[in-house]
Amino acid sequence: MLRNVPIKRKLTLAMMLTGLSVLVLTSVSFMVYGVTSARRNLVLNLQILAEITAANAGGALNFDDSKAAEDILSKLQAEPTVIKAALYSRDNKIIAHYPQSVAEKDFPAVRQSQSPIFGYGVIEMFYPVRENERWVGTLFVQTDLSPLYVRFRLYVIIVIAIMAAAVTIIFILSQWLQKQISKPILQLADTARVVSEKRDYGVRAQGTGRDEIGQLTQAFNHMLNQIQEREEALRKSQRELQDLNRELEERVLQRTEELESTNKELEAFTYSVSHDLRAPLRHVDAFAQLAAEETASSSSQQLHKYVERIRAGVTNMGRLIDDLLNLSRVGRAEVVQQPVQLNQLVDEVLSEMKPETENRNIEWTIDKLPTVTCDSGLMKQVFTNLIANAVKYTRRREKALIHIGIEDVDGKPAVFVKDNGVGFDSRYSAKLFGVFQRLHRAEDFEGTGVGLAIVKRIMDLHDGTVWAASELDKGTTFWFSFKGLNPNSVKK
Amino acid sequence: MNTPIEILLVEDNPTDLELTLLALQKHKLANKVHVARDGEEALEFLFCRGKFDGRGFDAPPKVVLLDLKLPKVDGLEVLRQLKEDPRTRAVPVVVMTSSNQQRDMVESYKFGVNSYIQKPINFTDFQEIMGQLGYYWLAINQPPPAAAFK
Repeated sequence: MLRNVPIKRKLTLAMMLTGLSVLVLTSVSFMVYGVTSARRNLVLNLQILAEITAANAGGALNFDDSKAAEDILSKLQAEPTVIKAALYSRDNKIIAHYPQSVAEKDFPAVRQSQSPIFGYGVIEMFYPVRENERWVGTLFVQTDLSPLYVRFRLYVIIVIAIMAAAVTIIFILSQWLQKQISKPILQLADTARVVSEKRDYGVRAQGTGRDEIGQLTQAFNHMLNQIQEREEALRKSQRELQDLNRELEERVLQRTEELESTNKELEAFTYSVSHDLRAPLRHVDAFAQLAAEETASSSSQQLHKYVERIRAGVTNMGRLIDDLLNLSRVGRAEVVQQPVQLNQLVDEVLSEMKPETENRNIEWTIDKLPTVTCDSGLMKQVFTNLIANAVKYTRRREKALIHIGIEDVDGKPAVFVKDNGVGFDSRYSAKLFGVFQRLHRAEDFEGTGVGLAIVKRIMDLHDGTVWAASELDKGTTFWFSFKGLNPNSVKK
Repeated sequence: MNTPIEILLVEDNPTDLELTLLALQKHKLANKVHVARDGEEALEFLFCRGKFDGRGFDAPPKVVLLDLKLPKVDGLEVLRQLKEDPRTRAVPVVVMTSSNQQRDMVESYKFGVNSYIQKPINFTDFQEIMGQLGYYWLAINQPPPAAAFK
């Protein structure tokens, strides 16, 4: 019922209720006691009055002296509470009454009981009158009860006044006390609210006392301390992490810039090589030939041979430059992935190689190859280099066999180019894909040792691999496999 | 000198110039050649200005043999200006260079070159190519009519 009432009001209410109930109980008992004692006093008073009057009236009654009796009664004037009084003779007839204005018939008949009787606003009693130990008549006295009422009313007024004062005092006191109790609680609640709303762990609840609320406040502040420390530690580590991140980003950026600049240099370098390195070669070749033409008439066979050597060297160097440029271009190439029919690439390569192959006895076996996702130009380069190798190293065969197909190798599809050429010693196969690595003498088979390196680079660009197996004088097989080759491409 | 210029050869390297002229001579084409030694001179000749302001746009060479690496104004720039101007756009241009760099080829074709030839290292091949080139552009190819240079 009081659950949602603020704690301040609860405390005030409790204190007020306690104070008021004590006050009401006290007042009621006080009133009861006061009224009772006043009543008793009134009765006692009446009794004393009756006793004294009865003692004085003994003689008058003994002699039926109504004049004397009335004299005695008239002395009751001194007592203003007396309303009326009467003296009865032994035969219960009124001898005298007071005051004279009241008629005799308004007096009650004699009763034997001496106990006081309470009437409406009055109290009355009968008292026996004796003379020399002998009963001579009866006295009747009636007094006013209004002093009792007056006193009662006074009591009520006093009680109300006290209550009002007490309530005010209790209220003020309870306000003060309530503040003593509720203030720290409210402050604690306020602090908790600020903490939870603003996530400000720097605020502290103020608590000075050593009571339970003080302890609670201390515990709360301690908890806030811990949270604040953790929060700060967290922030710090976050900041450190951010710093680290930024540093890392900067470093990546720096590296990227360095890389870009290196790349640019490399590009400028290859551009320059492409333009400037070939020009002098052309000149050497041209003048060698011109010299040969000049000396055409000369019979010096040796001179012609030398000129031929010069020109062969020039040709070789030119090829080397071309291959190197090619390799560097492949390394920096942007791979454009698109669906490519591999058989079409093979056909193109074969037709381009016609000049070298048409005078040879080569038996081609070309299987159906799939359409795959790859860079068309680069993949064509792979076929060109591998097929050119196969053609070159089968040169001494009476009948060259070259087989191009696809097969499953260790669960993944691989395209292969197989020949029955001279082969190589498999001990050196690790050198096979390195730049300028050759496994044959230049006078046996010409070449720069760049072709397979290019194949490997292209495979790297396609997330692929290339490998070979060979046996001297039996032949060589090259396999390559890359991401775009679908496992379903191998049909059995 | 009365023979009309049929070939404008733009070449800065004296050795290359000598060898090219030699190759042209072998095919009896050398006396119809005008040589420009850099890009600026080539532009002056083609746009009939400077020392060539007497020339008219209606008598351009039948073919321009253009090297790419040139002093002052490089070959690609010459090509670009040539192909941008309506008075010279129709002049056939053959780029002849040592390089087979993709960049050069792409740029040349984008600017509208008519042919791109990489000078072979082998001189015999080079002579052969020069003969074919001269024969094709001077004898086989129909040159643009005068109306094309306006």
